Amino acid sequence: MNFQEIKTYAEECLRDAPPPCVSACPLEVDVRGMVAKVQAGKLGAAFRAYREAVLFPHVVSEFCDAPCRGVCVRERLSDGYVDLPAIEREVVAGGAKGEGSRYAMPKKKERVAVMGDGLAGLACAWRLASKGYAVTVVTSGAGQSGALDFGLGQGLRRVRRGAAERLATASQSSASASLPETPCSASCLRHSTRSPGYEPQEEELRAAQFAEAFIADRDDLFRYVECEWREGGAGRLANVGGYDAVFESVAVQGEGGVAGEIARGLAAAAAIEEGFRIGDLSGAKPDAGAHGALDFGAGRTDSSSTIRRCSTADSENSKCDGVMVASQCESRRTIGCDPQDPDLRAARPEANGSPVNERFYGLEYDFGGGSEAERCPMCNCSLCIDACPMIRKFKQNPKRMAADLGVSVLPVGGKIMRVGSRMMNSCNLCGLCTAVCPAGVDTRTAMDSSRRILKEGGHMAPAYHSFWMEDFEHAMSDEAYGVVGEAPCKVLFFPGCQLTASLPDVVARTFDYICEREPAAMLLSCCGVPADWAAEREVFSATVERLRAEWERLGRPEAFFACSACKKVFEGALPEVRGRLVYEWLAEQGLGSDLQDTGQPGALDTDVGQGLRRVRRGAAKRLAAASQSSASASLSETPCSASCLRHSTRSPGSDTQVPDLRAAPCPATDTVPRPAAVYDPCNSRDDAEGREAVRRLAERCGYALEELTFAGEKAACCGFGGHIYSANAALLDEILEERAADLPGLPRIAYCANCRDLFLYKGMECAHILEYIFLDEGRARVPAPLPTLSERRENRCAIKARYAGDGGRPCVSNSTTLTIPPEVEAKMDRLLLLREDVEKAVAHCEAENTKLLDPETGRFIGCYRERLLTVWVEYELGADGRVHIHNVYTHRMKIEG
Amino acid sequence: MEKELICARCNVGLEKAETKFSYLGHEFSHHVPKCPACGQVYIAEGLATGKISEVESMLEDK
Repeated sequence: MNFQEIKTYAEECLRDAPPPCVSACPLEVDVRGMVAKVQAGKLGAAFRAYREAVLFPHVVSEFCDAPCRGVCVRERLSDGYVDLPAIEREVVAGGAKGEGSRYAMPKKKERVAVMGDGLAGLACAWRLASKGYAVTVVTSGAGQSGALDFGLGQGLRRVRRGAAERLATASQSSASASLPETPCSASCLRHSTRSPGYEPQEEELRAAQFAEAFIADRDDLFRYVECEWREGGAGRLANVGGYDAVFESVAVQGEGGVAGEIARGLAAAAAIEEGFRIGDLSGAKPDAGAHGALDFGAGRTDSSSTIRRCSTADSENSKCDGVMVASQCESRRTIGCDPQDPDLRAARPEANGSPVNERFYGLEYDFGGGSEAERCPMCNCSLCIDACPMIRKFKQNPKRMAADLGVSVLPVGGKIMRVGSRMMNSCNLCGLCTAVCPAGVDTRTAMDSSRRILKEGGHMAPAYHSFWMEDFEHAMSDEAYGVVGEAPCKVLFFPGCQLTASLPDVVARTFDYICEREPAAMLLSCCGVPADWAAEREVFSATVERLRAEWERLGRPEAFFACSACKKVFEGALPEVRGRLVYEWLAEQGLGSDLQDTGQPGALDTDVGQGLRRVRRGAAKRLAAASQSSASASLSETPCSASCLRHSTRSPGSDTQVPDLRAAPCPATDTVPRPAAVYDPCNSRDDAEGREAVRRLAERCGYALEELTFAGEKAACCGFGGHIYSANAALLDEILEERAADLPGLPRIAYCANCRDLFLYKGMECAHILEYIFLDEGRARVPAPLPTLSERRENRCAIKARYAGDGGRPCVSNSTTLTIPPEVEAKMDRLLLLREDVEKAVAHCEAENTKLLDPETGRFIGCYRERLLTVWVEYELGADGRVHIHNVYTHRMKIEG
Repeated sequence: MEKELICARCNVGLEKAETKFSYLGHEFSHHVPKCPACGQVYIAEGLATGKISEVESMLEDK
């Protein structure tokens, strides 16, 4: 996206689009705003807003046809529509006080005649008069006593006669009478009801109520807004002359009822005003289907509304229903509520069979009780907001983000406030917002493009990505980068730089296993995604070219990825590389499959490799331990691969260390499958085969899987994506909180090293699927200790060295003389400090003698500028010659002296 | 309460003095403990994680 596209990317966003009820309302009453005020107990404010929208609050609240009822989302939940007129009546009864609005608009020169003093005519007249136009209302009859006093004049009697005629017709046909289209006088009808011996009809009483409401509203409206009132009658038009525009209200039966009438008047006013503004009334387009006759000399004009509406689920935009109900997740924060909840089950729209995520229907409020306003879910689209902690943290929505990003990427130099800078660098770039968006609003691309524009303009704070770029450079350095295996090969295993850093043993065992079955090589490298996230285009392109060359050299093998992010990068930048997640292939190998029932040799029986012998030994250890302690509980928690154990029982003499297990029960078959959830990484969203393979493997490992809220095609980022930590560490913590809160306590099976590491960091129970398959640790529920940042780099070097033939020694020898307590090491990780950074700081302070002494403790404090950081170290020189580190902290600012 | 530190090189106590800082092309000055002889500066952790961090964030958003 370029600057212009970023500014406008969210135009299709449904946020704040009129919900079904508002779309159906001719007056487009702001239901969300009104209900929010009612729920907050602010009836006065609700009334003022309501009156502003409908002009005739008493009339509309009592006599509206309420088209909103038929489209209400709650009606579709079989729970009954929200009775908005009831809420409106509550608002009018409780909030109606004071007088109509006063306006202090400058007088305008244009003169307008409004023919008719019905709802439409008065609405048009009031709106134009309140804006300063000279308005003359030509009344429908011969009023007697001034403009506002309709009193008991001739006109009203005529109205009454008309009403009586209609009532009579209705009574004859036994059909319920349509409401009076023209107002009549309450006093007049009251009078008739008071005639001795006269029993008023229900319709007649209703007409009386109508008239009363109309007069109350009309008097309120015109209390401070002046019009000229002129008596009309037959041949009214002939009386009109010298006006710039004339509006004649024509009542249209069955067109929106009273609200439709008022809307027509307001639309006419808007059209007239627009005509005045552009100096050409003939071009003015009334926005109400031209039901009011606009006499502009050029006749009527048609129009179409440009307001984007959310219609009902029956319309072509069938997702809107779900969108609307989803809003409740935002307002009530109920993601992850119990889908077995009876209320929720009742609310599930099974009738229409739409495959809706039931958790989006997590309505928290009481279906049976509460006021009508409490029942209104205040529908609004919040699917991306519900899905993304970043959008919530920044109190954003796509439209606002588009504005903030637009300002931030303005092509101007100098120091302007780039309000979206931190936000775009706090985005995981996972694209979940787009995946859940019914309108396909692509926030991810907007964020990504904004990063690029910011970077190219030199406005990206270096601190946001510097550490990760250094980490990337390490992964691509001679120490860590390398190809294991010979060309040509059939399979290229690409473990990714983070899995290699976290779980080097797992990487080695997986590679060994592949090698036993396929002519394979392993590429120890980073895929380049950190450069992509940091908007370092050139670095990214160079990395891609390097990978392409390596792949060509190896004979264009099929790639086996351990990381979905790497796979995604290859798919985007190197589409010629055929590849898939390694888990698919592992699942095809029958790995972990339970052969106990069939008694048939499986894939693993035929070919025993190094990796499998390791697995078997691990299983044997567990079995031995279990047999000693006679406790089966620990076994139940650590299901293992049945095929693996079976294999050991069938391979005579293959490994003398393994006891004869033929009599021992297979733990996996004796125990109930243990519940767990596979955590799909965000980059697996469009990789159904990969996701399925991991689930298959996990089940074979003895797990009964449950699905998380955001999984599969709605997989959410663990928080690592986009390298947001430097820009927003607090947000990362919130994301992890949220991930932990979904099915809390349930162990996670990850297949992305970053997900695994972050969840372990958060204290969640989690292991990589390859740990479950190839290591004991994964099954033993003992989380493998997380390597520190320094150890991660050492791990990368170690695995390269291992295959380079020097026995697996780490190439970075731990020759340091530092003693760092674990809590300081943890702090260093939080500060993104490596051991060597601290070492350099101490060395610098000692060499240059720039240290300070704390006489109380005898410790030294000193600093050193390393990379973009000023690193402070508090240390003590031990008698043993070692340096004991007591504290570290950093700041980015440079001390100039 | 800031620590009373001594410059290990000059063996004198630090005194508050104006010190210049820079970040992202901006320059500031602030009074922090400094060796009156060699000019070695001390930034307490509280200052680094508090005020300095705030200013850094502000500048990064520009």
